Amino acid sequence: MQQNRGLAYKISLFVLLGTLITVMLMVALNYFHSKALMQKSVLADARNMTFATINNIQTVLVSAEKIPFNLALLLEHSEIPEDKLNDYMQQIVFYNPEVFGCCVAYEPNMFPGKELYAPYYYKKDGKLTYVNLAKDNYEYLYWNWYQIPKMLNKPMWSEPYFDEGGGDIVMSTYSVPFYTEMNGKMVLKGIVTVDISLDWLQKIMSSLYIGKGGYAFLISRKGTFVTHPNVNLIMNTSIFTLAEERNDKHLREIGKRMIHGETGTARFDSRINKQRTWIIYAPLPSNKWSMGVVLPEKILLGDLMEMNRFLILAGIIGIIFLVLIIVVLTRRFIRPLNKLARSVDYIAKDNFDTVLPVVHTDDEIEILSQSFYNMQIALKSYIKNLMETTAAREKLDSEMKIAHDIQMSIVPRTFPPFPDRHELELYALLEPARAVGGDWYDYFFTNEDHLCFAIGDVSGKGVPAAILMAVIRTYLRAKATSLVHVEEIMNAINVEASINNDYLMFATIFIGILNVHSGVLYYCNASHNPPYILRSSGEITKITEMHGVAVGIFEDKTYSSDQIQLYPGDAVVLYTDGITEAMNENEDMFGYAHLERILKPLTMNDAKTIVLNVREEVRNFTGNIEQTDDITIEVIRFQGD
Amino acid sequence: MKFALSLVIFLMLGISLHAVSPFKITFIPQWQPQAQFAGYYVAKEMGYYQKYGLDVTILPGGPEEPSAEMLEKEKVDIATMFLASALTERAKGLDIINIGQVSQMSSLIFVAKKSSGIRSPSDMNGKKIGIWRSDFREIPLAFLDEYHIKATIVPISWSVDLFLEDGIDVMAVEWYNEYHQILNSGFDPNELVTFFFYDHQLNVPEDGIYCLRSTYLKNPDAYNRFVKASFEGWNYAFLHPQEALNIVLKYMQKSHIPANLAHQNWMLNRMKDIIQVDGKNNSRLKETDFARTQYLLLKNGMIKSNISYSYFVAGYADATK
Repeated sequence: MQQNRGLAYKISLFVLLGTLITVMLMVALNYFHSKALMQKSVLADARNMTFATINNIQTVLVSAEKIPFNLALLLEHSEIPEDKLNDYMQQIVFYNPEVFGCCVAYEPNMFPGKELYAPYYYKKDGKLTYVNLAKDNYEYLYWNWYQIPKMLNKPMWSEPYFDEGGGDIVMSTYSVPFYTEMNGKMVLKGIVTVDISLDWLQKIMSSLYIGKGGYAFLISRKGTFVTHPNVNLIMNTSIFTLAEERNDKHLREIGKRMIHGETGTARFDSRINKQRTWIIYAPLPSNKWSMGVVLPEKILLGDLMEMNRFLILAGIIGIIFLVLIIVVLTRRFIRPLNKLARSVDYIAKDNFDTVLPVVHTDDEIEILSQSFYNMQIALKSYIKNLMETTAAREKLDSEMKIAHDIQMSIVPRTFPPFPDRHELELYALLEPARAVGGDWYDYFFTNEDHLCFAIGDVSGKGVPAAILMAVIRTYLRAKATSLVHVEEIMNAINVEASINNDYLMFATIFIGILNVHSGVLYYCNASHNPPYILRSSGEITKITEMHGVAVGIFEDKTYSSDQIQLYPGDAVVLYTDGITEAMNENEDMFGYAHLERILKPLTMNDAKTIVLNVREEVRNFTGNIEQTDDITIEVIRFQGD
Repeated sequence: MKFALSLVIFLMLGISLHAVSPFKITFIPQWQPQAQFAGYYVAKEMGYYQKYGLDVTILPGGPEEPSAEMLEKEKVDIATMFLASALTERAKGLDIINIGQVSQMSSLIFVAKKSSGIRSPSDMNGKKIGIWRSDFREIPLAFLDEYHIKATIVPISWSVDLFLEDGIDVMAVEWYNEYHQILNSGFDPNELVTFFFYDHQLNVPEDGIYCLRSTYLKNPDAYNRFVKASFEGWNYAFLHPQEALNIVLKYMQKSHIPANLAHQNWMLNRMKDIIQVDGKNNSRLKETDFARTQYLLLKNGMIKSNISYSYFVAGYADATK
C-alpha cells in the first residue's frame, strides 16, 4: 500500500514539476513577447495622441495668428487713421474670446504726428480697457514681444508669461512686424500683437487620458514649463532647472532635444520615484514649443501584468486539476497491482494454492498477473518434485548412516586394544570419504603368541566397496584362526573374493602375523602400499616386497610371503593410498617422501601419536580441499617380552 | 544655543529700546528679489536689523525703479548700486556715498554662442552686442572700448530671450544670474564662449550700498549699523544656504516673480564667490578697485572729472569735496 501511494506520488510530482516548468516558461515567454508588443502599441498610441493634441493646439494658434497678421497686412498697405485703428483693435479684443489684448506698437516717428505710439486694448475685469504703452516710462521698444520680432524680422510667439492683471492665467503674445517702403527699402514700421490666454492649453493637456502616473506637459522654446500637472512648475521652472535640481543629465539631454524641435521617444529613469519612465515628445510648429507625454513603464505594462496574473492563476488551477486527475487515475491503475501484490505476498508465505485475483485491465498489469499465474503453477510443480526427491534422499541418507555405523562397528576401535598384553602397542584410524568406504584394517590374536593384523583398500568407494570389505574381513577372521601361514590366508581370501565377482571388484591387502615374543613378522602383500618399519634406532625402512596382484582378480593366483625380524621398539606403519595420494588445492600429491619426512622424527613416539600426527599433517596439506578418498593408518609397535 | 541667541537678541532689543524707538530705514536693492540680495532679506527675517535698532522696509527693485532715481527722489534711504553706475551718477552730480561694498570682484561676462564663430574679443567686431539699456552698462562699454570693438550695440531689457533667439550675437551677462539662465535654457557651457571681465583687466566690483550724503549725515551710526546687520545676514545666508533660499523664494513669490530653486541656489553660491573673495566678508570698497573703476570711466568718457576716494566712501563721508 505504502509503495503504491509512493508511485502515485512520484508520478504526480514529476508531472507537476514538468507542468510547472512548462507553465512558468510559457508565462515568461508570453510576458517578454507581449511586453515588447504592448510597449510598441502603447507608445504608438501615445505618439498618435501627442500628434493629435499638437494638431488641436496648432489649429487654435494658427487661427489666433491670423488676427494680427491680417491687421499687419492692412497696416502695411494703407494709412489707417488713429480712430479707425482703435476701432479695429477694440473689435479684435471684443469679438475674439481667446484674445486677451491687442497692441499696435510703432517704431519711433512712424505714426504720423507722434514720436512714440503704442495703443493697447485689453480685457480688465471683463471690460475693454485702453492704454497707450508709449505713455509713462513704459519703454515698450525693449520688451521681448517687440524687440525679438523686430530683430529677427519675423512674426513670433513670445515666451509664456503670467497675465499682467496678477492672475494665474498663462499668456503668450503673438507679434507680427509690419513694414513700409522708404527710399526703395523696406523699413520696420511697427509691431502688431495679440495676447492669447493659454487657459485652454492647460485644459486640453489635463484632459488627456494617459493612465495612472502618466501625464502630458508643454515647454516653451527655452524649456520653461507652460503646462504641467504640478502647477508650481508652470512658469517657475524649466526642464533644465528641474534636471539641475535632480542632477539628472539625461533629463537635460531630453530637454535639449525637445527645445531643438526634435520628435522622439526616450526612456529615462525617474529620479523621484525611481521608476522607469518613457517620454514621447514632439514640437508645436507654430511657436516651436514642445509637447511631452510621460508614461511610467507601469502604464505600458499595466494590462500585461493583469494578463500575466490571470495566466499564472489559470496555470495554478490547471495544475491542481492535473494533480487531482493524476492521483485518481494512478490509484485506479495501481489498485489491481495492489491486489496482485497482496496475493503474491500470500503465495510467498507457502500458500501456493492461493487464487490470484482476476485482472482484465488489458495492459501491462494483466500481462504481469498472467506471468504471476504461470510462475505460481511452475513453482507448485517444482516444489512437489523437490519434496519427493528430498524424501528419497533422506531415506537413503539414513540408510547410509546405518551402513556407516555398521562398517565402523566391524573395524576394531578400542584403544589400547589389548590392555593386558604389554608385548605390543597399537593404534589405528579409518576415515571414509563418504558415509561408507572401501578401506579397512583389522587386528586380532590368532593364538596366545601371534597377532594377525591387516590393512586393505577395496577398489571403488561407497556401499559396494564396503560390502566387499566386510566379506574380506569375515574371511580373514575365519581363515586366520584355522590357517597358520599368511600366504594361505591370502590365497583363501583371493579365491572367495574372485568367485562370482561379476562387478570385477578387487582389493589390495597387506596381512602380517607377528610373533609377539620373538618379534618375527610373516607378511604377505597383495599390491598394497608398502608399509614402513620404524626401527627403534631411528631408521626407517620400507617393506617393498610384493607377493602378487590385488585379490579378486585371478581366482587361481597363489601368493607367497616373507618374514622380517622386529626388535623391541620397532613399529610397523600401515596406510592406504588415501594418505599418499591426498591432494592439495594445487593438485600436488602428499607422496611417499612427505610421509617418510614426517615419520622420521616420530620413530620413538607411541602409536597413537604417530597416527594422529600423520593424519594432522595430511589435513594441513590438503587444507580446505574436500577429502576424496578413504584415509586409513594403522601402527603396531613391537615391545617384546 | 537658540536660547542664548534669543537672550542676546533680547538684550540688544533692550538696548535699542531704551535708545527710543527703532530707526526707520527704507531700502531698495537694484533689482527684483533674488538671491543676489539674500543677505538683506535674511538680515530682515532673522531680526538682525531689529537687533541693531533699525526698522528696515525692503522695497522690491526692478527696471522701473532705478536705484539712483529712487535715491534722488528720496523715495528710499538706502539702495544698492553697481560701483560704476554709482560713480557715473556721482559724476552727474547725485551726491551719493558708498557706505558698504558687497561685491569684491567683477562678475560680468560677455557670452556668445560657439556657433557664432566668436573666439576672441576681436571677433566681436561687426556683431550685434546686447547690453542693458538703462543701468549697469558702463563697464561692458568700457570692455568694447578697451579692445577697440566696433559693433552694433543693441540695448536690451532684462531678459536673455533675444540672445537665445539669435537676435544678438553677444550679450553682457552676470555670472550669478543671466549666465545660469542661458545654461538653463538648454545651452551647455561647452556650447558657449565666455569672456570674464575679471580676466580682461576690467575687474570692477559691483554691488555696493549707497545713500545720499545728506541722508547719511543725519544719522551715520544708524547707516553703519545697517551695513553691519546686512553683512551678518550674508554670513548667515552662506552658512545656511537652504534657509536663506527659502527666505529669498518667499520674497520672490510675494513679488509674483517666477522663481526656481536651482537658479537661486546657483546665484547664492556665486554671490559667495564674489563677496568672500579671500574667504571672508569685507564690507569696505578697496581703494585700488575704486581707482581702477574711476580710471576706466574717465578713459571712456563716462565721467569727466575725478572723484576723491575719501569723499566717496562713508568712513570719510563728512570730508569735504
